[in-house]
Amino acid sequence: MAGALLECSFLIPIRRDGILSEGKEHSRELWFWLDQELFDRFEGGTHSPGLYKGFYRDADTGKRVDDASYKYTIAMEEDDVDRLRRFLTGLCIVFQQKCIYLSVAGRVEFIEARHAGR
Amino acid sequence: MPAVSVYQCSDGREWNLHVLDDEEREVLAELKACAEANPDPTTAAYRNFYIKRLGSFYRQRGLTRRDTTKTPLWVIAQDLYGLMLVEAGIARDDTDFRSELDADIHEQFGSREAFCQATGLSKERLSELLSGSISSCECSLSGALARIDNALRSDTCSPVRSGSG
Repeated sequence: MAGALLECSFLIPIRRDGILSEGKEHSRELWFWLDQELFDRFEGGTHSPGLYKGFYRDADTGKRVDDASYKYTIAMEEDDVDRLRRFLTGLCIVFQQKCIYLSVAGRVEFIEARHAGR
Repeated sequence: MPAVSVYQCSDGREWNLHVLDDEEREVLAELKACAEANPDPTTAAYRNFYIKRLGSFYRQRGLTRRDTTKTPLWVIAQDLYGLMLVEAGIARDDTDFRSELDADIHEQFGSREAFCQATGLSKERLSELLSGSISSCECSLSGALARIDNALRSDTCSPVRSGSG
């Protein structure tokens, strides 16, 4: 019998970061790509209803930034969570974000786009 | 002007619905009904439905998840979702992200391969994303649903097995 699964959820802002990029909405193609990757790698993941609106202080500018995000939830074994963290590192690049909010069984992390290749 | 049994995606690609068998046509009708009932993408109802329904349908037919995402039904399902996103103002239908994304990957990781290795992302899918041919369109969700409706009602359709099962 498999061990208990952890509920992992993450937020993808519906706009590119306004500092890294110009803050526009993403191309629909990126949402297609994300659904395919989630389906292929994690066998789905539930997309929660609604837009999750929030704000934060940008570390670079010190200014308040308001955003709205889609929320995805995936149940996975603890040993698999690192695979999700790596995946989200890639999403930071693809979706032009400085970091992505990840909650693993209620514990929050901010996954940054690391220069993992260098 | 495409024939009634052809679904033209927003990117211009055409899918001949003759290749769908009876069960696939039933699933297409379910997708259409769900899209009509849930045109607001923020409810996530249609998005969650198409992934779960097609995943289950093609798994029973022995398809891998990757192969499932290459079926006409998956492409059409995503096309409808994309139209919802664009009409709701949540996504754009342009592709100007490609050169910037490719440049970022090379700047931060050196190569696409190194990026995929570091993140676990699929090289094949990344290549598809960066070389895709989606173009800007003036398609509407209602127009797309009407085309599906016409195709499903077409007397000229002679469904044949797609060979995917």
